[in-house]
Amino acid sequence: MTYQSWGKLFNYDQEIILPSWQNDCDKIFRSKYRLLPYGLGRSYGDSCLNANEALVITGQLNRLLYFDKENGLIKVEAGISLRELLNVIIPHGWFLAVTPGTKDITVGGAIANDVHGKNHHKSGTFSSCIDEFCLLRSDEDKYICSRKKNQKYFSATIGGLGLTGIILWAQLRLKKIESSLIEQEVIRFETIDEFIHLSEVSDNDFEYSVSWIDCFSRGRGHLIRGNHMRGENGYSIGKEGLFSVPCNMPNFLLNRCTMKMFNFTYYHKQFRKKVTSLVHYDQFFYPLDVISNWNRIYGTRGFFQYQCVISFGDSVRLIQTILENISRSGLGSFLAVLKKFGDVRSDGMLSFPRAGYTLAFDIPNRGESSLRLLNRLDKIVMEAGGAIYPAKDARMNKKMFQCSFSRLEEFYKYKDVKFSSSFWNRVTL
Amino acid sequence: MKKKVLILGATSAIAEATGRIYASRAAKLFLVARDQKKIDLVAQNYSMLGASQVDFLIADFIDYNSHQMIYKRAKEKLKNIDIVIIAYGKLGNQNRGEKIFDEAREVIETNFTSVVSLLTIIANDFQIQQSGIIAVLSSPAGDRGRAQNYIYGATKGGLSVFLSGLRARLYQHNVSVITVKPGFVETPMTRDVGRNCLFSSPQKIAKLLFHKIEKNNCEEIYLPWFWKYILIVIKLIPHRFFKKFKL
Repeated sequence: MTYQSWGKLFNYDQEIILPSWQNDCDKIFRSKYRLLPYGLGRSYGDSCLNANEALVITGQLNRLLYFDKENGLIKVEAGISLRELLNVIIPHGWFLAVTPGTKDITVGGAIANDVHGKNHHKSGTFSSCIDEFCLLRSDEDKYICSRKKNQKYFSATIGGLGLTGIILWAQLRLKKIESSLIEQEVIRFETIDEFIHLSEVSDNDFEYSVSWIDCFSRGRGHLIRGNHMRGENGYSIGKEGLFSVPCNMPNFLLNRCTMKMFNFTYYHKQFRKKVTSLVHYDQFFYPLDVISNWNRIYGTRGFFQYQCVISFGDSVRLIQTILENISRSGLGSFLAVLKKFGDVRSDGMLSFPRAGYTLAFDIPNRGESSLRLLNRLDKIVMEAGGAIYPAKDARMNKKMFQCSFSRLEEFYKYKDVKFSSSFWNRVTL
Repeated sequence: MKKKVLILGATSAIAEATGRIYASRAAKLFLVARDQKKIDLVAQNYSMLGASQVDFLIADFIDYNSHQMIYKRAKEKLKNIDIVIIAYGKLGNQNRGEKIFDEAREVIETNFTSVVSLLTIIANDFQIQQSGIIAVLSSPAGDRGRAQNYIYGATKGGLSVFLSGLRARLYQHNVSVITVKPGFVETPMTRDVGRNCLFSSPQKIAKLLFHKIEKNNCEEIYLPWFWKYILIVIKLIPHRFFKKFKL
């Protein structure tokens, strides 16, 4: 079993350590290698990889420890996936206060990347779900970290990419829901200006909002917004992934032509300007999870994911410039997402989301041309004082990383020397 | 209908993962294992996952005198047991076992003798009950003795033969006996075995095992399926060649 990341760009030699119980973790520091916790490998680049060192696979540390069904408090071993967690809490009328676009990540991974979702403008990042967690560091001490205890370790670990130690368990605050259904609206927009206007207006009345954007265009797309349905309607959990991409697809499958066609068709699939419907939470929050192993669509060469955030200033022009660059490169993607972040602060030192607009998209790995495009985009983002999301990154340089995170100097003090990652080595050495 | 499941060796990786599936389907579970802390964690987890009843007992299967008591307690809690899963075992150290019989004896007693003792009790009860499924974890290593692990292999081979006979006996009484042969699985038992692409996770094995038990139309199963064909090939190799392999 090789351990890769989602973009399938790297094939590293890594020592594997697989604890089955929390107590097994006491022995991991005997390893001569430096360590990195690994959840479900959904990071796209190398932030979850540790070339020539060791990965501590957390997947078997996935037990429920305590669940207060009345007050929505749950304590879990950090290797549990959001999928397993949701299967337990939904039938009791609870949901995650913040959820990313896939259920197939671990709670540990959600904390380490301080993930965000469609409701960032209202609820901030995963940080706001966290009550406390237990951090095991290489001094073999277990630190209970919260906003009141070991605050620096708390802040450093949220968004800390697994570099401050291993999270053994975490206690989360859940969100009460009345139904498994979401009242959804999908609105077509033609330009970035229209998107920005719609975003502003949606923020007040809608808890969740995100846009899919056609990156081969000047800025047309669909804005998807929604709220949990009110009224007792019973709860149902989602089904297992219906389809699976059985193997790596041929490299020629995704090219400029096919992607342009897909984007065109997808944009026009909705005839009306606005469509309102009731959808299951699984479809609203986790549309991609329906297809297991969707990353195989990109073939053996793999793909890059790029997610940046730029502040509110000159947004329209900047977003348009980025889209133009993508379009001109011929490397566009059909999974481009645009969203407005709010100014809810996270506790994390290396937290990525901040007030502004975030754009995320995949591009196939075509070697030099892909890297050239992303380097050009880095320049644009850097000049605008923005940031790149480490969870998605496979190639940003030291300067870009430093510009992205103003609290990096502070983070250094709390990083554990026994822990390392390929990402960290790339952006700091 | 809520299944009543007895799991012997409940804190072993495959057992825990399988029990989890039953728990999430509101089964009633009785767990037996050696380690108090571990079994506590497992039991709590199962309760939160939705098991309608979870009880457990701390016991060491090497203590044959405890077997009657173990089964009696399980019956008290579960009444008529639907499924028994025997999922504990010891790999042992082959090199050490070759030189010191005590090492080999421990492996034999754990993997074979103690299991026979428990099966004697369970089989007699299920025979009276005229129903039930007994699933026992054996191993492809028992299909043919290899230089590298023939002590472990012998215990599993003996177990597979015992189960084969038991199956025939209990078939007359509407009781199923399933011999489960998982290939390489990523568990603490295989910690020192070099990883390769043939390894499966305990979760995957558990899922396959659960479905096989549900269907209840099999006798001997290799998990995943491809191990059956690997072993067919291995068993066909003539002795005069096989003896030269350092496998």
